[in-house]
This record gives sequence, structure tokens and C-alpha cells, in this order.
Amino acid sequence: MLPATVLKPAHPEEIIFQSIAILTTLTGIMTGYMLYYLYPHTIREWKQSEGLMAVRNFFFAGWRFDQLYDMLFVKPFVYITQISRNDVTDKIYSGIAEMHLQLNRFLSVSQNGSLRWYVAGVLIGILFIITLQILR
Amino acid sequence: MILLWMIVVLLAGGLLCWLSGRQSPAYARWTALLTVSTDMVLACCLCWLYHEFPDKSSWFINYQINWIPSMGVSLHVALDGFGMVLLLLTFFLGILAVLCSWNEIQERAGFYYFNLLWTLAGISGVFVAMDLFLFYFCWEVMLIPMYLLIILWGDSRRRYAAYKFFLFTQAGSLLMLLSILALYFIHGQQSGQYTFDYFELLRTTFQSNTAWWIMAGFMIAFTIKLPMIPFHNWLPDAHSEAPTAGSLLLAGLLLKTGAYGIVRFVLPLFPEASAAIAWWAMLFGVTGIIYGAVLAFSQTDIKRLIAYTSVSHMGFVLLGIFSFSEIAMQGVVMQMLTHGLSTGALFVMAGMLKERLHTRDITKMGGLWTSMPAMAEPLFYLQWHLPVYLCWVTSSQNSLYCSGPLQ
Repeated sequence: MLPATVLKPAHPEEIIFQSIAILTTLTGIMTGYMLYYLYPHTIREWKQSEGLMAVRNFFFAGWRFDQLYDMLFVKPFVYITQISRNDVTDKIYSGIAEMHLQLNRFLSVSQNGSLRWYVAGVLIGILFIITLQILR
Repeated sequence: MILLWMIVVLLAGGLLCWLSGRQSPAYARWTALLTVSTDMVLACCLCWLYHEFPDKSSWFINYQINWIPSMGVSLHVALDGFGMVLLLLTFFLGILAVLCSWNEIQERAGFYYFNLLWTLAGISGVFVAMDLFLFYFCWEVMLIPMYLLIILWGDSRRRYAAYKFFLFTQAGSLLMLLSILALYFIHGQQSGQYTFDYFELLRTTFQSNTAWWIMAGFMIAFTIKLPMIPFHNWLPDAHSEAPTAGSLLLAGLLLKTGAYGIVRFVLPLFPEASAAIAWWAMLFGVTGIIYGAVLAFSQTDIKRLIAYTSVSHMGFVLLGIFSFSEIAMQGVVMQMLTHGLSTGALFVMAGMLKERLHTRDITKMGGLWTSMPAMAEPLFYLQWHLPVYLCWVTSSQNSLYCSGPLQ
């Protein structure tokens, strides 16, 4: 035999919980007996009413818990994971690479094969060094 | 001496593979298998030595000969329990790596096994080197053959992946080299003895500011390897484009060298500085765990998926290391081993699937259970059960003890 469940002293006796459970079960059986055996036309009347049908469908859809959890948890999570599917932090590094390519394009304008540009470049360099020497 | 022999055996075996591979790929395969197996046997012999050693917590092999005496560089190798388990893992995964590329590699097999064995030599060198110059040398020996493995035998986007891997890891190595040199000169000025020896350098005293900068160099190199976000970007690309054995070595061993480096070098050399950044390291660890998991969830490429779970798992390692508690540290070692085995196995399975299906896209892989039952079952277990069994213990060990200091 199983030992009796010991409850904390603050709670009512176990027998009260047991009777609530028994009463609920009996009420269920009673309701079924009344609706389907004694007064079957009641159900037919209920089926005419829109509000009650909505309640019935709501119960049949499992209180719509699936949709609720889908909205609350699944959809936001999938959304978040889809945003950075290709890893947003990758943008930092591809950005650095892109910046250097831009710099390359920008600076390679000066490498155009015309000697004037090169001579001018050398002259600017010489001027810079001489200025530094004079100002020192 | 035996530790140096292990590395020399791998290096020489690699050269032999290259030479014999010109005659026939089969020679190269068998040479590679024999070489790694020899090292495995040697490492197993070391287990007995370890058990006979009276004090199980210290260095049971410590060997030093001069290499470049004028610079204070020596071939100093030493082994304790931590190095021992990692060495065993290295050779075990090494044998697997040789075996799983047995039929996969048909082109230039000799050179392939040369690279594979040299990577292994570098990794085992990293785990035993107690001279920072030797450590750095082995660190590079492990990276460059790995780069060649990816760029020569990789998948369709192999050039991109290999360059990315190389740039990331080389940037980290450069910072580490600067730190090593700074350490060398500071110690030399303090004691008048210029040396790269780990045990000597441990006695250096720093001003807190200097310590912080030197530590940052080491930390960045190791966290790139670990990888910690936001330095993890090389990992999914390199893992997914590398040949199967390459992914196996990357996931199973190269990531462990980062964690090993933090435990072996960063914490003992800079105890105060690492305590100062512990909070940030833990924050990045946790971010990595979550970010890696979220990204793994949204991947459709099977190898990228496994790669992102690695980011997530190595976040646990970082978190555990910087919680500074003994049990968390044991959890870290366990996590390193279990992650090496389970992720390595997953990469082997992914490689087998890719070889058979010629795709890495999970959405095209339906119905494996009926078409390849022998394959699907281990995959299923590995994907869900093994990481759960093995990593759960270690992760919970980590997270339990990490939550301690935060409360």
C-alpha cells in the first residue's frame, strides 16, 4: 500500500482535494448524461448560436496554444536567426577589404604611365624633404 | 628527448611521404599512417611514465638542449597531464585524419600527407614547447601547411576561405610575436639574462600597464584561434571549404591550441592583468555561446552548421577559463577533449556525406535514415546525443561554477 500523502500543515486536508476531484468527475458525467440523453435538443440549439460555436472551435483547436507559441516564440526566433544568416560580423571584415579595394582604385589613378606625373611626384617629395631640412 | 623525437618523426615522415608519393600515392598513405601510429604508440608509452611519476600534478618530462644560444633560444620541451591528454588527442585525431583522406585525396597525395603531418607536428610542438621561440615556431609550422591544405585540396570557394584563414591567424601571430619579443626584452633588462624560456619568463615582474598590452597581444592571437567572436569569421569558411581531414584537424586540434595557449601562457604570465579582463572575456564567451548557437540554427550547409556549433562550444571554454575556479578549469579540459572528439567525428561524417552526395546542403539530404542507415545512425547520435552526453557534463560544470562569481 502506498503511504498517505503528507501535506504541509498550512494546506487543507487531503480528503478535500480528493472530493473536489471526485465532484468534478461526477459533474462531467452528469453534464454528459443531461445534454446527450435527457435534453438532446439543447445541443441542437447551441449549434445554431454563433458565439457558442466559436467557443467550441476554440476548444477543438487546443485553446489555440500552438498558434500562440508560434507567434510568441517560434516566429521571433526564426526571424532573428534569419537576419544574420550570413553572419553580420562578417560585414566588418568584408568592409575592411572593400575599403582597401577602394583605396587601391583611388590611388591607382596616379599610376597612369605619363612621365609628367611621376616627375611631379618626385619633385613634390624633394620639396617636402628640403622644407623639412630648412625648417628644422 | 622523446618529445622532440615525436616531432622529428612527424616532420621526417612528412618529407618521406612527399618523396614516396612521387612513386605511388599508396606509399604516401602507408608512410603517413605508420608515422602517426608510431607517435601514438610513443604517446601511449608516456602514459606509463606518467603513472609511475610520484607527483601527478607537475612536469614529468622536462628536456632542454641549446638551439640558438646567442639569442637564448633552446629546444625546451616539457609535458604535464594537460599536455599529455592534448598530445593523445592530437595523435588519435591524426590517425583519423590520415584514414579519412585515404580515398578522398587522389591528386598530389604525397604533398597532401606532407602538409597533414607537418600540421600535426606543429600542433604537437605547440602542446609541448616550453620555450616561447619554439612555441612561436611550431605555431607557424601548424598554420602554413594548413593554409596549403585548404587552398590546394579545398572546395569551390577555397581561395577565399584560405586567404581569410591565413590573414586572420597571421594577424594574430604577428601580435603574439610582438608580445613575445616585448616579454623577452623586458625580462632581459630586468635580470640581465636574455632568454625565451617559459619558466624563466614566469619570474618577470611588470608594471600593470605593460602587462596589459603584452597580454593583449597573446590574448588576441589565442582568441582568434579559439575563436571568440568577433574574431570567429575565418572559422565557418575555413571549416566548410577545407578537405575532410583539414576540417577534422581545424576543429579537433587547432581550436584547442588557442584554449591551451590561454591556459598555459596568458594566465600564469599575467595573473593580475587576466583577472582584470576576466569580466570582458566571460562576456564575450557568453555572447559567443549564444551567437554561435543562433547562427548554427539558421545554416543549411552541414559543415557551416558544425562550424558554428564549434564557436558556441568554445565560448564555454573561454567562459570556464576566466571563471578562475578549479572545477571550471577541469570542465574546460573535458570540454576541449569532448569537443575535439565529437566535432571531429561530425566533420568526418559530413565529409563522407559530401563525398557521396556531392552537396553540403542539408535541405537536399532528406531520407538518410532509409538510404544510408549505417551512416544516419551515428550521425544522429553524434549530432544530438554525444555532444549532449559529453558536453552537458562539462558545460554544466563550467556554467555552474561560472555563475558563482557573478552572484
